[in-house]
Amino acid sequence: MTDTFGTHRERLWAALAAPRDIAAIAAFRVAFGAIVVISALRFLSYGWIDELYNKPGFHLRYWGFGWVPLPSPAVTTALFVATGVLGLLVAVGLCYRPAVALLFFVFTYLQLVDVATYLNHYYLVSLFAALLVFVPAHRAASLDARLRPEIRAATLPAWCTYVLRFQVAVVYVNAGLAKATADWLLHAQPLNIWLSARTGLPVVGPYLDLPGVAHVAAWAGFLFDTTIVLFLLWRRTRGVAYLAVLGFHAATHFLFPPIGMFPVIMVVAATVFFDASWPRRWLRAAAPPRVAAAPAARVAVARRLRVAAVAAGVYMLLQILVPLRSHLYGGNVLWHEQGMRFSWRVMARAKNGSVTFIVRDPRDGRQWHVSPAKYLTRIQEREMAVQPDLILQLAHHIAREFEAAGRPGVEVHADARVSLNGRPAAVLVDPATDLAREQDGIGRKRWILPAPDTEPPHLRRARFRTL
Amino acid sequence: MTGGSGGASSADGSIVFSRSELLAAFGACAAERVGDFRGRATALDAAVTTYVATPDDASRAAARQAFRDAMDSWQIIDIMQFGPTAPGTVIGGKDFRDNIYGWPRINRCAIEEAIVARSYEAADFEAALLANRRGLGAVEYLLFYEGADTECGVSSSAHAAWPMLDAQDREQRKRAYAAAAVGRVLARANALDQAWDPAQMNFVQTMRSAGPGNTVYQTPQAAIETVGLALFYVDQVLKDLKLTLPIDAGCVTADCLESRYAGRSKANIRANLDGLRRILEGCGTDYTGLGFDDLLADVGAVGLADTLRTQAIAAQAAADAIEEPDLDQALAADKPSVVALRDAVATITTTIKTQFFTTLSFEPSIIPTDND
Repeated sequence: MTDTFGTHRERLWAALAAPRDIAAIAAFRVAFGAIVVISALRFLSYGWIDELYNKPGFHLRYWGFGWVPLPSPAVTTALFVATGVLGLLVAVGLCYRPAVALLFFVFTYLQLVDVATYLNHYYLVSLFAALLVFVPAHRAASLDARLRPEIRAATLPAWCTYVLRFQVAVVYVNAGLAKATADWLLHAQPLNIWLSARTGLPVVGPYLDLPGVAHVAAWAGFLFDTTIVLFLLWRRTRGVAYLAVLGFHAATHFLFPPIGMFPVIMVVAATVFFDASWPRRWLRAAAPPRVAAAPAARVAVARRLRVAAVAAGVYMLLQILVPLRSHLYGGNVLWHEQGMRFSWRVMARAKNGSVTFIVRDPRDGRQWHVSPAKYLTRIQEREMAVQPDLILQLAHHIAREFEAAGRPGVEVHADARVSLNGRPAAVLVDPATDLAREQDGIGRKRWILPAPDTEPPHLRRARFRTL
Repeated sequence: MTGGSGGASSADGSIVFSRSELLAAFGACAAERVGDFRGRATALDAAVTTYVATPDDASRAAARQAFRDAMDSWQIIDIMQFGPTAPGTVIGGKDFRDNIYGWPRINRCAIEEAIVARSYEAADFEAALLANRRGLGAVEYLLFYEGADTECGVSSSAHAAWPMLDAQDREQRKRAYAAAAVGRVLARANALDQAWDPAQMNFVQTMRSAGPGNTVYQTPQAAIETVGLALFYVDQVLKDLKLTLPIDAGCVTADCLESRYAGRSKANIRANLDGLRRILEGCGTDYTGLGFDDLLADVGAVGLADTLRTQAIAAQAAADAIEEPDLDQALAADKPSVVALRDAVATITTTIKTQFFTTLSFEPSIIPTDND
């Protein structure tokens, strides 16, 4: 038994350490760096730094990360410039290891400044940067390799490819599972809403609100996300699967422009499923090195590799469990949002809210209606109004402000109403709860009211109406 | 269940709705209201000119009435901050609004400093005076405030100089300042009218033609969204600033109201609600014509259209139910009536910010950013 286990383990090590052409990972590095450069340029040129970082008078923080210092406007701009430069360094492979490590810290820090900036694809960029710290993707097609011949390598261990494939698979599979809801599959919401608003698009627009189109799109999206990894893994279907990747993400890019860089990132990320030598064929470069798997028995597993394997195992386990944590809270995660972040629920709901804070001083009974607009930009308010933990965070801030103004111990209640996937607005937070006395944390928030049990509306265009 | 009632008739009597026609209707509504305001601004300019030339009770009363008429007209437009009327940060915006009516940024002390320094006599009036000391907000103070005091504290240059002005000189300066300010309002009104006017720069056509090739709105949705997002006014200005702030401050004087000097705070809100219904339902008589209700009906959300109409009518009724001439008296004598109006407006804003924005897929940010 021990011998069998040992043999399996050695085979595993051998598989992980098996040399694979470095070309595909080098190409991924170049494309990833270029995406980071473009993303930084978009922030710098579109006014987003002011809108997202400088304009807010109050920043909504990630739970447990309130200690992260807020950058000044000049520092924020400098950090985005640095992000672009670091992305360029990663792309060309110059000072790669420190560059990609710094990219991870700078980019992640910028995300930690304000929860309202959270996007799934920014999170993915941080994860890719973190993984690339450990992947020596600069050993070919890089300035580092040109300047330091001793680091050059034609191959990398197979685990480098596997870890990137795993990450991409986590995104697709969870994005697919997030669509396994009655709203998405039975009622085609929120796609029905989104497509109905895009009938003015050229060529395809007039067809987007035809009966059945939203349902077809909803099921296509669900099936694509849940199965595409399998088809990309299987060599015989890989080509067609990648065409589907291109088609799917091109469609999301043109139909839903606010999705930003996400389609580009996924189109690049999906290349990690290709054969390791694919760039050589495209660039008509030198033939890939002939590589043969080393016999299992002859693979020496270094202690460092074992540690790395354990760390990778823990990382993968977290990547599997973190998106699933929402199930521990029960109910509809799209409503209560507990476990929503970091779970790859990409464009899974159409949701807007309206919150008014009602502050009451129990000493004299005086009452104030406080608008979030006093503290938040519209982008922040939009995010806060549908996420109970952010409502709580602002309630605490308001309580502190009243205390500073000489009114300690005020009660802060929220009149929070939310429309999910086009339903009439329903009350999100128990208005009787004094939020000033509730603590944030990862536990279930009992003051969040249940999601409405009504079906979402079915929008259907009435092309002709009679008076 | 009625839904919208506007739209072009086809041969068989059915209604053919299109987003371009809706956008044209929004544009035509704005153009028509701006034209009305331009006429009233012209009348105000004439009345103030007369008041400057022959300053007596009759000419002052005429100037004040002309101001009321102009402000009533502007308050309908104030809720239609899309197209050139909107701030420059909004797609298509040309910053007309704050240059015509800068409330809530009007600063009485800054106006009094300008009176002391005669800044209003500068050749380039708008360069010499920031938006917080000109426009209709300044004109209201200059025409209506009769007190001899100043709001400027000791840190202001006007604090010491103000008491040195004799009453006659002070009133003469205020009239001259009012004339200069109204002149600029009229110039802006003319320019805004030209921007909208179908016979001139025709922004109505820019809205109607939203889509590929349009340099302002790349899609009809983008154009419709700017009109929809203008409704944030109902939430952040009408509900929060015009109603909640005075209610929570417990004010019983006009100092915390929008119209501190002319006593038109209630009238302004009534005009805002009129503007709201024009956008929601249509700009014609009795709110006929194309409005958001027709778009909602077109996408199959007739119930939401009816809800919004009912809520808007209820808000108008709540405003009408306030018996006192203005909000300061109402807050002193019948605060619940003002609270009822605020709550009625809050009901609309909740619907607008939740189901309305969701159903029409509006992104409530001024600068579009990525969102997944």
